[in-house]
Amino acid sequence: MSSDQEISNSDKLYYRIHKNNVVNGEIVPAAFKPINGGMSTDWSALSTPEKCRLRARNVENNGVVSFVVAEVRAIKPLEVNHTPSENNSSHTDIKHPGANFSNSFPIQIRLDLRKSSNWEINLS
Amino acid sequence: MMINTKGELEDDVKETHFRVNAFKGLVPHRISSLEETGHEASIYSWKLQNVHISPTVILLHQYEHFRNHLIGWSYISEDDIAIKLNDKVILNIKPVFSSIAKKIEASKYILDFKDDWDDEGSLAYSEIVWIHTVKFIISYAEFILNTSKKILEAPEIYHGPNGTIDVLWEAKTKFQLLLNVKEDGFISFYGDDFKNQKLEGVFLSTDFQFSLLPFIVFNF
Repeated sequence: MSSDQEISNSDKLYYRIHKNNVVNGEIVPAAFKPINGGMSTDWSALSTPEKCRLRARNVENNGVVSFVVAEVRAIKPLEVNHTPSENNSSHTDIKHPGANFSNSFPIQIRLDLRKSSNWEINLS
Repeated sequence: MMINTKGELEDDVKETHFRVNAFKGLVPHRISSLEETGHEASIYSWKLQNVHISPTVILLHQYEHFRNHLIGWSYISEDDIAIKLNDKVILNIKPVFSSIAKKIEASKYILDFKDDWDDEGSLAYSEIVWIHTVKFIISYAEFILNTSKKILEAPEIYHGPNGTIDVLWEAKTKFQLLLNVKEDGFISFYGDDFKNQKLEGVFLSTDFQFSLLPFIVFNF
């Protein structure tokens, strides 16, 4: 179930960054990775950076970055799909429609997502 | 080659001799003669403490303009840096690549990750993929050195997705190039200038042609 149209280009998406994905203060490109088809984010209309962080298995190990939805949609061919779950109404997947990219994005997309991300809750 | 078949100094010699004054006053470490050129000349080498560089110097006695000037240098192998893993030498690299060696050493953090290192089930990294990565970087650096006489800028070496390793060169706003090394030895790469120029490709780290790879020489 997705509702891409509900998400405005000016909205933000919050995404957790694990401390092991920060090396010498820099987020590594591998931090931007889908799991089972989508890169799980929280939609800013229904969540906050703090709420996003609290969903982590080990909260203290995670920071949070945000993306502006328009910038994500500009990274072709990524899609932004609102995929609410029972526990998280804000859940939104960033997906690559290609069949081979359910667990890893192409290099260019990892670099573009890295460049587009901005710290909301910095690990440092 | 510094002297052409006519016995004339080539242009790169003139450029080089301006760069060598820093070595003046050092005690010669080794001296030998340069007989194969047919010119009256000598080769001198100096060993610089803690720098792991030994400039080899050719003094051309018969050319007044260059007399007693240092006009070139090379690197001796006796101070090669050993890249080790678990106390076993993986390869020895030229001292001139010391900054790359430091990045390689720092990248061993990747091998310290245990299964579930990201609390999301990611698996540990194999030594094989790390060795593939290190060997490729050094062979690439050798290619750049041999081709352009320039030292490859040391890349960042990061853990990649799904057991792979990322090698990243970033030149501020000029360009970025990321190589992704897989355990089977395949390497994919993507680079751009942050604008419209892009390149990408894939090759096998044990069987490829350097001439088909991006030729990156940094001038920060």
